[in-house]
Order: sequence, then structure tokens, then C-alpha cells
Amino acid sequence: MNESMTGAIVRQTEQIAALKVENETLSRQAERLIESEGKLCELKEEFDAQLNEYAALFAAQKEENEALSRQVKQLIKAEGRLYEFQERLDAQLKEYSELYGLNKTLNAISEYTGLYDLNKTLDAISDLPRIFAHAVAYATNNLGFERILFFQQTGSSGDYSVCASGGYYEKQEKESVMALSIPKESALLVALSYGEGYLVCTETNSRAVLSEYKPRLQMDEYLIYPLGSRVQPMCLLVVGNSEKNAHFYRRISESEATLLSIGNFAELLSSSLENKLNYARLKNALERESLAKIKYRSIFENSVEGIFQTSPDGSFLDCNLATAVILGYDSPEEIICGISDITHQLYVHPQRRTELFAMLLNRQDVKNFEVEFYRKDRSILWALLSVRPKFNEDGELVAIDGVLRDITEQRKLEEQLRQSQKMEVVGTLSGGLAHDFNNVLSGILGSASLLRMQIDRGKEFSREQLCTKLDVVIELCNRAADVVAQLMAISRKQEASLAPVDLRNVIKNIFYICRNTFDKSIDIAVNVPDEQIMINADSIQIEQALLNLCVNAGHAMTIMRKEGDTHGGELLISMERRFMDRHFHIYHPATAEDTEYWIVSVRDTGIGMDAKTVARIFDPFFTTKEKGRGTGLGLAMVYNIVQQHKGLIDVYSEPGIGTTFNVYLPALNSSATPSGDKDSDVIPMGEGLLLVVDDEPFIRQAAQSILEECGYKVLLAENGEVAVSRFREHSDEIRAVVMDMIMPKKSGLDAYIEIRQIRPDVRILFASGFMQDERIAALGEMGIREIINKPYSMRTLAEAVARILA
Amino acid sequence: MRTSVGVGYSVHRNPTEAGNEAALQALEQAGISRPDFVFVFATVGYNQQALIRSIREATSGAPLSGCSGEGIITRDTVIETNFGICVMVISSDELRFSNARVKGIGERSDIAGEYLANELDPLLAADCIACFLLADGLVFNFDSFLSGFNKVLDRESPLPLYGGLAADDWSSHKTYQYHNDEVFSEGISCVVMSGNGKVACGINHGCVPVGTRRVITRCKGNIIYEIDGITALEALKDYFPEDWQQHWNKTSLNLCLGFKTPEHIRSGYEDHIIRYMMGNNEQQGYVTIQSEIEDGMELWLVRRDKELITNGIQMISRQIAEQLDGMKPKFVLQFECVGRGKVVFRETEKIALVRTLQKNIGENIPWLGLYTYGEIGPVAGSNCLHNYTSVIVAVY
Repeated sequence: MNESMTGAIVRQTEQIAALKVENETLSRQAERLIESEGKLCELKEEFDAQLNEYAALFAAQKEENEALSRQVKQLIKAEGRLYEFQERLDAQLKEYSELYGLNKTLNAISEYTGLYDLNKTLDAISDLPRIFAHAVAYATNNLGFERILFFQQTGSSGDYSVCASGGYYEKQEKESVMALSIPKESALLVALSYGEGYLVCTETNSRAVLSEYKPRLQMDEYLIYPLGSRVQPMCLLVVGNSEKNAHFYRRISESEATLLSIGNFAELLSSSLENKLNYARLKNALERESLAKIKYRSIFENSVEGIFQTSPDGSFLDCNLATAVILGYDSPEEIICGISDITHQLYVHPQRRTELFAMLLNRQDVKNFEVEFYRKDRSILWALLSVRPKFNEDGELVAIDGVLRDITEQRKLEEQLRQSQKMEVVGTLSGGLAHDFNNVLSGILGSASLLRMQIDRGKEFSREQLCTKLDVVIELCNRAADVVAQLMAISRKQEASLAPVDLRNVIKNIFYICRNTFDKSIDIAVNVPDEQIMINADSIQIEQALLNLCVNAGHAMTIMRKEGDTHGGELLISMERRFMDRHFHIYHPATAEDTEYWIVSVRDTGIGMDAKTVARIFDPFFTTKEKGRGTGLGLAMVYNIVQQHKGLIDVYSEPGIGTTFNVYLPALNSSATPSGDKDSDVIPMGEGLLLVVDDEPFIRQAAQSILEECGYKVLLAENGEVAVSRFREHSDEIRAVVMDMIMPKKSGLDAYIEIRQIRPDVRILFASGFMQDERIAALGEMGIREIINKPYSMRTLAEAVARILA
Repeated sequence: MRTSVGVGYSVHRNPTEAGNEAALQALEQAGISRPDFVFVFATVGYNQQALIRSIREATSGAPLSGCSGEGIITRDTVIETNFGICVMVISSDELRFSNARVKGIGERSDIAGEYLANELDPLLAADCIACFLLADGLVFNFDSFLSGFNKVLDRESPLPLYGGLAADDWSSHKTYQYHNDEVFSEGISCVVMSGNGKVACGINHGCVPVGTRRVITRCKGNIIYEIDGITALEALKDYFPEDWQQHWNKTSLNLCLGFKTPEHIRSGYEDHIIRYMMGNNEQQGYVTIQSEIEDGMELWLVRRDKELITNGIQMISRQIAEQLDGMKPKFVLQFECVGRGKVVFRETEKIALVRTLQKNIGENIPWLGLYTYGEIGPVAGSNCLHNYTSVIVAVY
């Protein structure tokens, strides 16, 4: 048991010891564990710290990667932009380089041309097409637009026409655009005239007026640049693109690049073109001036008209050969040296130069001033002067430039023309007048025969009965005298002798003649105002002119009508007074402004004339009448007469309707007294012995009766010889002589010369049926002013005698 | 044995005068009056029909092929405007040229490929050297075309295809192809060159990847719908400028797509084949390229690099020089991507590059080039379409 117990104890002791060892081991392990745990904790802390550090690093790296990625993306975008910018820069550089090339080319042309150098042979005008050609080539190939047009201002209209084009490759397109022009006043260009630098019409945005030009320019978008002045450009540059091809070309826009590009080009061209055009103009101007000098020198030297310059003091400063020839000198130098006092050396009537000078000092240009000049040999010529005054800066007259024409022959011819026209009218009227005259004579003859028969039959007449019958004869005689007076007036050769005339009397005469001579199919009407119609006129000439118009009117309504047409119509002669205002004056510059005119209208309903005929009717020898019916001088004469009266004539005519002639004659104040009219009915009386000389017994007796009635005693002589003899017998008693001009044996003038030798202070009154006879003119030169027209009335004779005795 | 080649160009705005001027220059340079064949490259501002008519008249109606481009290249001259034309005339008793054309390629490029192959088949002699393709760059799907083309021709070794895709003025409006008197769009103008001659070719792009690899997650044919699970446009938008919708052409120039070069052509080429995104659909968010893709294909965003392009020109020169082995080319055709012209280089840089290339390959060699919407040239015996690439074809 002990053993068992000992054994048990031993075993227990051994177990305890083992447990103890184990416990110690455990204790040591526990200690190591605790120690390891501590170390672990330390490691964990260290690891955590490292982990945190790596996390922070990773985050930083990630952020950097993202930043880099963003930078790469930005870099790629920037690279794209860089390439784009680079491309644009190259394009622009290319353009500038090409523009520079063009500039060099244009400058080369300038150098070759030698601007302003007249010695260069190259014609500047021909260079313009070269400039345009270069510019077109440049623009077409370099500016990037499809089409280009240059318009140049041409002609007097100032419109713009295409002068060069590029980019129109189809024949039809090109032909069409080359015919294009833009009116100067076109609405298209209005904006430029208001100062806009250019006009732009884009594909989608433009003004209506710009869009309208798209089809004409054959461009769907375009830019117009003025070249030269913006407001009034000399040329227009148009660039643009067609709708079809626009996307292949630089688009039209108002972008800075586009405007800069085209603007540079336009400026360059403007400058070049302006130089060329200015040069061309200058050259042309110089050439024109040079040519003008040559031309005017040639005209001056070779002119058949005298051209001269005189000084105000009356000497010649310069003149051409024609002046010398006209004035009868051998050379211009002879005139310049030989004439120092124009007024007295040249002028037959020095007061005419005074009149002329007055107009010149009034700064008037004087045209068609008719004047009589002495030639070198003192013969007289008629000259027509047109002169213009020249003033210096101080307003002083320094010279007179003028043109001189010898119209001596012309005046003679005009006289002949007038005379022949009168004869034409006489011829026209003679039939009717003869008829009228025969009527009068029949009346006189009838009345006188009846009276004689009644006396023969022993019929007795009371004084009143006798006077009544004689009054009939007197009236008929007066009418006959009127007829003769008309004829004489018409055929008389005369100068215009202007005096106050009442046109109503003229019209009355004309009416009388027309009524008695015109075809009865013509209704004649006269519309004359009640007031006096006073004009300053030669009544005979005016009557002749107006009668001529009436005769033409009559013909237009009768003999000039076509065969088968009804003859006849209406002739209306009317008058009205009209104030010529500025408006009228503009259309009738020959009239004096602010002046009253009497307008005599002669209107017919004849065949009328077309415009072509109207344009020529005043030409001498132009006639529409049948051969033998007209000389073609009538209206030329009318025109001259009206001009001499400072009037004008116009005509309105329509074929098939009729014609109206209006004759404008300057009105005189109606208070002027018409010549020949007297207010008083009193016949001046006188006394003393008068000698009446006339080869016509009835006239001698009539004159004797009239003068005796006026209180004079009368001696009679039937011709010049008898007259001289009678005067010698009664030279101390005879107070005056009434002398006929044309008489057999000795004319009135010859007789007067002898009588004046007997008694130089004898008073004489000539009577003549030919007032414009050359002999009458001779009387004027002898200082004899009193001449009366035969037949004369009692009043006329009495007044004339009274005047010479006064 | 002689081949006379001349090149002329014109920038005249009048199409008739431009065509005539370029053709006469070319004839004068070649010293001939009637060529055997005429190549024409022109830009799109001209009335194309009038242009071709004038060339045909000037070249006595010689067979003619060509197309429009964004610009033209001749010796020492680079013209990237809407008005430039260059003409190459060839007269040879050692080289023969036959041409064909196909229209309406827009709907099915594979059928067009078959059609053209059938047209070419009788023209392909044993001494056939190369085939030049000038196709409408706005509608052309190269892979689809090639499958149809190869299906018909079924040759042991593929007919080497060179050429470019016709371009316009960046408007993506219309390109033109020329075949004798015909001017048309949505077609291919094709030239087969046969005879005693060889072709030396250099191909290089100058693009570099930007960022990491991406994956096409949804696509069909030549349309990429999704990249990395989001719409293609969404994936790319951050790289686009704000107005990218209005200027898609320029936008897609600055950022294009790079795909891993297939193994079978990797030895003769760079790491990536570049693709231009010729179209997009904002609503559906997709972009289109000129070749086919598959889901899961890896892609990189790439950008042009002027330095790489410059270095690439030297590489092309070396490639061609090696092939020429001292021979002088009879003429050179250059198909240059529009993305390597004025949109990346300054005018002076661009001309300097072209001159360097021309100098390296040989002085006084008739040179005719075109800026294209796509370039065609074989790599390691396989016909390929390239973008942002220069394909230089020297015939010797």
C-alpha cells in the first residue's frame, strides 16, 4: 500500500514537479507572448504609419496623373490650334507676299511710264488697261475670290462701265458681264456717296438694292470697293463668288481678315490708278492746251474774220491779217502802229464807239454790233462787231477782245433780198389790187360820168347835192390813193426807220389788203385790242413782214392744198401784250428780260408743216411752194425785219391742222405818239407867195387849191425850167417852193440847186412818190429834211409848209 | 529602251487654260507630242469636266487616269489650294499602261473590288509590275474592297497595290476620279503598269501614341461604337476642341487612332497602323474609319509628331535607295496624307521636306504627287491602307 502510496506520492510529486516545470514554461511562454504582443503592437503601429504614408503618396500620384492627363488633352487641343493658326499665318503671309509682288509690278509700270515725264513715249492712257490686267490676274489668283470686276467711269454721263473682268470663264457669262454698267446715280452707289468705305452683299445678308445686282454681276455674294475718291470714285472694284462655286473660294464677309485683304488691295490700286489717271489727265490737258494754242493761233491767223484786241484808250494791241485786210491795211503791224485813236480814225460815227464802250464798261459782252468804219483809204464799210471786255483784278477795263466781220456786201444782198421779196408779194397781190383799183376807178368814172351827163342834160344841183356827189368821188379817190400807197410801201426800197407806230393801223391795212385779195374761201378775222398798240417800228417793214405771213397763210389754205382737197380756212390775226418774265426769257434768250412785248399772232388752218420743215422755214431760198410760186425769201425777210425791230418770231405748226406765227415786238409806252397822227383837227394857216412845181396839172391845181385855202398865194410851174424862171422873176416874194422831184426837162433837185443859187436861204418842200429814191437820199445829204409823200392830203401839205416856214 | 516622262502644273483659275498649260508643260518636258499615258492630279475648285477636256485635247486623247486631291506636288512645288493641277505624260517602249474604272463603290466596296478585278483580269500580263488605285476617299472601305478584289484575282502572290484616296478641300463634299474623258465620284480609277520595270516603295507615318492602351468594346465593319465600355465619341471628346462638330476633319486630324501592326507585316513596318476617323455620328456616338475592326481590338490614341515625320522622310529615302540600288527612277508618284501638309507644317517646312525627299531620291526625276484622304502601299507583301502616311512609289 505504501508502495502504492509511495508510488502514488512519488507519482504525485513527479506530476507536481512536471506541472511546476510546465507552469514555469507556461509562465515563460506567457511572458514571451506578452513580450511578442507588445512587439506586435509596435509593428502594427509602424505598419499603420507606413500604410498611411503610402496612401498619401498614392493620392498625390493619382492627382499628378490626372493633372498630366488633363495637360495632355490640353496639349493636343493646343497643338490643333497651333496648327490652325500656323496655316492661317502662312495663308496671310502668302497673300502679303503676293500683294508685295503686285505692288512691285505696278511700281515697275510707273517707273517705265515715267510719271509726269512728258518726254516718255508710253501713252499713259494705254497703261490703265495694263494696270487692270495685272490687278485682275493678281486678284483672281491671289485674293481667293472667284470673280473680279473693274468698273471705270466713262463718258460725259459719269456712269460706270466694266473695263476688266476675271473669273468669268464661260463665253456667255463674260460677254454678259462686260456689257454691264452702273448708272452714276444708281441707288446701289448711294451709300458710297454718303461716305461708306465699301458695300457688302453676303450670301444671306444684304440690302435689297445690293441683292438686285447679284444676277447682273453673276455673283451671289460680293464686295464693292471705291477706287480713288470714296464719294465720287473713278473706278469700282467688285470681288465676289457665284452661288455654285462660292465654297471653293474665300467667302465674302465683313471679317477683319477679308476687309484687310481686299482693303489693302484696293488702297494699292487706288493710289496707282489715281497716279495714272492724274498723269493721263495732266498729259491730256497739256496736249489739249498745246493743240489749242496751235489751233487758236491757226484760227487767229487764218480766219477770214478779223480778230483783234484793243486797249481802252483806242489803240490796237494785236490783230490778225484778216483785220488788216478788212480795214484796207497791208499787215497787222501797220494797223497796230498806224491806228492810235480808233474812235476817230475808224468810226464814221464816233458816238457809236461811245455807245459800245458804255456797254462794255457795264461788263456786257456785245454781239452783232453794226457799225460803219473808215478803211485806210477813207472809203466806208459796214462792220459787224462782237466784243468782250477784259477787266483786271481791280475791276479796271484793260482790253477789249473782238471779232470783226465785213458785212458791206451782206447788207447790199439783204437789201436786194428785201426788194425781191417785196416784188414777190406785189406779184402775189397785184391781181387782187388791180381788181380793187378798177373798182375804185369804176366808181369815180361812174360818178363823174353820171354827173357830167346830168349837167349836160341841164339838171340843176343844189350845193348839198353837188357836195354829196363830189364826196363820193373824193372817197373813191382816197381809197385809190390808199391802194397805191400800199403798193408803193411794199415795193419801196428802204432802210428801217424806226418811229412810234400804232400796230392797229398796220393790222388795219393788212386786213384791208387781205380781204380784197385773198381767195373768198378764206375767212379773215382780226382781234385787235381797243388800246393803242405802240411799238417802235418801221411801219412799212412791219406791214410787209406781217403781210408776208398772211400771204403764206392764205397759200397754205388754198394753192398749197392737195388736189381735190377743199380750199379755204380761217385766218386770224390777233394781238396781245405780254410781260417777258425770266421763264420766257430762258426759252427766248433773244428777248429782253423784264420787258413788255406785243405779240402779233397770224394763225391759219392750212396744211401745216412737219418739224423738219419748220426747222428750215427761215432759211433763205427754202420753200415748200411749187416752182414759180415762191422764191424762198419771204420768211427769211420776215425774220430779218423782226430782228431789226429787236423782236423775235416763233412758229407752231402741225401737219393737217395749221400754223401759227407769233411775232414779238417790244412794246412802247402807249403814251408815245404815233408818227403821222395828230390829235388836232386844226389845219395850220399861213400867208405869202408860194411856188408850186409839178408836171402833173391835177396835182398842181390840187396843191394850189389847198394852199390858197390855207391863206397862201400860189404861183404854178409845170417843170423845173419854168420853176427856176418863175422863181427868178419873184425871188423876193416867194416864201417857199413846193417842188416835185421827178419832172421832165429839169428835175426838182436840179431846179432847187439853181434856185438856191438865186437865193440861198430859200425854203423848199419836196414832194415825191418815191420816198426812198436815191435822189431823196441826196436831198438828205444837202440838209433838206422836209419831204412829203405823194399823194398828200390837205393837212399833210399844210402842216409841211407851215413847218418849213416856221 | 526608253521611257520619256514629263510633268507640268498650273495654278491658273480658268480650268481650260490650267489644263492646257499643265499638259503642254508636261509634253514639252518629256519632249513628246503624243503620250502613251497620262496621270492627272487636280484640286476641286475647277470645273473638273472642262479641266479634263482641255488635257485630253492637249494630249491627243491619250489614255488618262487620275483623281482629285487636297493639293498637288511636283518637283520643288507644293500647292494646297483649290486651284492646282499637275499632269504627268509618259511615253515608253518598256512600260505599258492600261486603265479601268469602277463606279458606285459607296454601297458595297467588296462588290466594287470584285468588279474591278474582273475588269483588270484580262489586263494583267505576266510582266505586270503594279496596280495604281485612285479611289473616292469619302466612301471607300479598303478591307472590304480588298477581300472582293482578291477573291476574284486569286493570285499566288498578291498584285501590289499603290495609290491614294481622292480628296477634296476638307469639305468632305465630293471627290473626283478621272478615267479618259470621264469625271465621276464614288468610284475608283485604276491603272495597271506592266513591262520591263520595277517599283521601289517607301512608306512611313509620323504618329506617336498618347496615353494608355484602350479596347474596342463594340464595333461593326468599319464603325467603332464603344471604347472601354463608353461610346467612342465620349471616350475621345476630352481631346477635342469645343467646336469639333463644325470642324470634324481638322479635329480628327489632330487625334487619330493607332492599331497594333499585324504580326505578318510587323517586320517591315512600325508598331502601329494609323487610322483616320473619316466620319462620326454624334447621336449614336460612333466614329468610322477606312478599314474593318473587331471587338476586343486594342487601340491607342495617337498624334502626329513633326520630328517623327521629318525622320520618317529620311527613312523613306533610305528604303527606296536600298531598293533602287543605284538605279535612277524613271518617275515617282507620291501619295501624301492631307494630315501631313499645311495642317501641320509651315509652308517653308513643308516645301523643305518635299525637296529633301526629292533630292534624296534623285535630281531631275519627274515627280507627281497628291494630298490624299488615305494612302495605299504594300507592307511585307501585303497590300495595306494607311493614314497619316507618305507612300512614295519610284518606278525604275
